[in-house]
Amino acid sequence: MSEPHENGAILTAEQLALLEAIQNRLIPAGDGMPGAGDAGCANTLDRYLSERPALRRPLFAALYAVEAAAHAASAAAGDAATADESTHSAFLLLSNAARDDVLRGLEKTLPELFEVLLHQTYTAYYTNPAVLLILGWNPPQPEGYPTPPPFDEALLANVKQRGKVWRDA
Amino acid sequence: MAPRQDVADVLIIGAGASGAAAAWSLSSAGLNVVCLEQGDWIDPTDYPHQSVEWELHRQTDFAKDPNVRQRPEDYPLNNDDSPITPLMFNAVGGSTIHWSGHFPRFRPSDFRVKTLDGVADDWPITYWDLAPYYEANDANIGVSGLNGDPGSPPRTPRQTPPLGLDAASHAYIRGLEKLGWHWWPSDNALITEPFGEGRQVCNYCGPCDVGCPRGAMSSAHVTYWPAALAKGVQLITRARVREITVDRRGRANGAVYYTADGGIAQQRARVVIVACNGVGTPRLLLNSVSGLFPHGLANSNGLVGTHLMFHPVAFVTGVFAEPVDGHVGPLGLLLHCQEFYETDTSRGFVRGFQLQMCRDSGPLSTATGSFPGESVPWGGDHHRVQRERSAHMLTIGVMIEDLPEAHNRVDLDPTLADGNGIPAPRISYTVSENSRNCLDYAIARARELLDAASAKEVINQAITRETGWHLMGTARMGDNPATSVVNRHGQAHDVPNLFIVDGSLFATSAAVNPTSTIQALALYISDWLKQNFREVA
Ligand SMILES: Cc1cc2nc3c(=O)[nH]c(=O)nc-3n(C[C@H](O)[C@H](O)[C@H](O)COP(=O)(O)OP(=O)(O)OC[C@H]3O[C@@H](n4cnc5c(N)ncnc54)[C@H](O)[C@@H]3O)c2cc1C
Repeated sequence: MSEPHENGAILTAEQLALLEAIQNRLIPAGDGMPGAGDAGCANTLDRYLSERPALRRPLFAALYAVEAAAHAASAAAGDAATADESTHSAFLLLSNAARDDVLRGLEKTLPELFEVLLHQTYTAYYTNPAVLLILGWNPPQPEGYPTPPPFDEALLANVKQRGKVWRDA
Repeated sequence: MAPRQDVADVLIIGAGASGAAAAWSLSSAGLNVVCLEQGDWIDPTDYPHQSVEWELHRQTDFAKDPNVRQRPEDYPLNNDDSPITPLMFNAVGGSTIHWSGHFPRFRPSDFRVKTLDGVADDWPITYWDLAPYYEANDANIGVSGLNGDPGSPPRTPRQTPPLGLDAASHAYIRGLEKLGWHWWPSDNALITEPFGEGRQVCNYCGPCDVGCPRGAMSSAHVTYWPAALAKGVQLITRARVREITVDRRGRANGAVYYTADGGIAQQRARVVIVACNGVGTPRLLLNSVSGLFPHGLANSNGLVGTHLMFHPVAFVTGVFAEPVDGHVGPLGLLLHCQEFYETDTSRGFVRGFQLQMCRDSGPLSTATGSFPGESVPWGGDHHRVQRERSAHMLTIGVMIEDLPEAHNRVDLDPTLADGNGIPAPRISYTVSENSRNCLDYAIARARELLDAASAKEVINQAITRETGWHLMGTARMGDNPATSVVNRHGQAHDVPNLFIVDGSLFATSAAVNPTSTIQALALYISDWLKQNFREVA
């Protein structure tokens, strides 16, 4: 995991753009937080895919399913162009509301694929240094957390008063 | 095959909690002990706690599930036929590398369930047989806590004081006192004040489940192993045992193992002890097939691998309006409640459960809902809900007694194998009706408690899959050779110089975490072996 990763090792530029757009709907910008795509989570997933080949098949399948659903949505809406010219993506042409519809559809019809997309996006986002900095999270060590005051045995007065609760045997 | 010339007095297979305790005890008596362990030492700097990606490591190279972790020293498991996934770590220290260290003892009644409640079996030994070994084990490894718990027999003062009073404790105590239930700060295999060499006290960092880089957890690799090595035990790592070998009389005479470079070696011994845990031990016995033991070693009655017990667990999570700092302090350690521990048949089940008051973890754990079992929603509401939950959740682990049933078992998978081609274990397990009823009742009590603690929302799972931490019962102890695998001394009925010291021994499971009992048993069995070594060897 410590090897430097070259972005785009696994995903094409088009796939990265699509993934970034999807991620910006899964965790959108707002509340002082960046969107997941804007935070660079597509490149992080590219790294995961290079490190863990088992993730490739479900993630590619999820991207494919999103595109297929986006094409169908544009065609149904009677749109002339069903794909973005530079990225060839149908999803990128949709409005945010329509993108959310596509993702909700995937969540319903292919929940396992959707779960991979969501879980890996959450993972990339909540292990992202810039995101953690905004949220105020440090790694658990070396500082740990301050030691709380000692336990106060007086709190156990009632429990003690009730007496022994185990059975002799 | 290059046989080692030397014949050990005792060969121990597995360097986890039980193997380490046995190695220390036997070497203290001057016996020449060799231990074979398939994993290696974990370098404390390898733990992910200083990385921003520590929660990613929890899902990858420090995952609890060996099928996910897939380190070369891990073996795969076929869990398709089980609603609970067995979890473990394979290294020096075994599963105590990333355990929680919750360290309650069994109660006296746990050893007598047939007599008291008419179910399952009594153990051939009693709580009182083990009591001195529980004490000795605590003194050896260092346990924090407070003596005087009316939920179990008296014990000596704990080696270090209980964990401090933090926001999470206050929330739980509020609920427990309102309901008037039993509770106590739990005994924890973790030090809160200096104890032992080279160990630092707990600094409340949180995620014990990815290891303890400070050595605050009283895990086998920082407690028993340094002491055992100092007494001359030879610990051979990256040594994966394929089978235990026997001589013409049917006595164990050593083991054949794969070395790190894939070569094969043999270790000969007068006595063999298996300490590979409740899954690894039956796997190894079943794979040790010979003319004399065509169905596996110590398995003439076909019981090896049967009666597998987990503790079925359901997580019940409370979301609080005020911060409860669930990420601060050791994940699985706080208080325990044994109000519903003993049998009361009016509840619709026999035996009982403990409520283990746990905390929460980092932001990724919150987002993916690892405790409530439900992720924070994606989309427009994401940041709001994440903020409301992060540092605002506490989880109770509802842990019930699992009764032994022959059809719950470990056997060998016909096709799946580890990196050396050794057949992998296959798990077949169903949750019994008694367990289901107990879980449902216990979940309702945990919800009641979180309500009383003034959680604004309570979310529960019906059963939590990733909780097969406790692996028990697959080489059960008993006086009757027809219904058990080993006798009251952990000695195989079929093979007098073969011993088992891990959770496989358990005749019943109790409703508490097993490792204090596993290590007490390992010391108890080792003591008997020391006293009877000449006759046995
Ligand atoms: C995430 C987690 C949390 C836990 N929390 C708690 C808790 O709070 N309280 C508690 O009491 N218990 C807890 N446990 C359980 C505890 O870790 C185990 O009960 C304990 O470690 C069992 O000891 P053992 O010696 O039987 O097996 P292990 O500690 O699992 O050790 C077995 C060793 O045998 C080795 N081995 C197996 N097969 C072979 C082979 N063929 N050749 C060579 N070596 C082999 C393995 O590599 C391993 O190191 C937890 C477990 C997990 C996974």
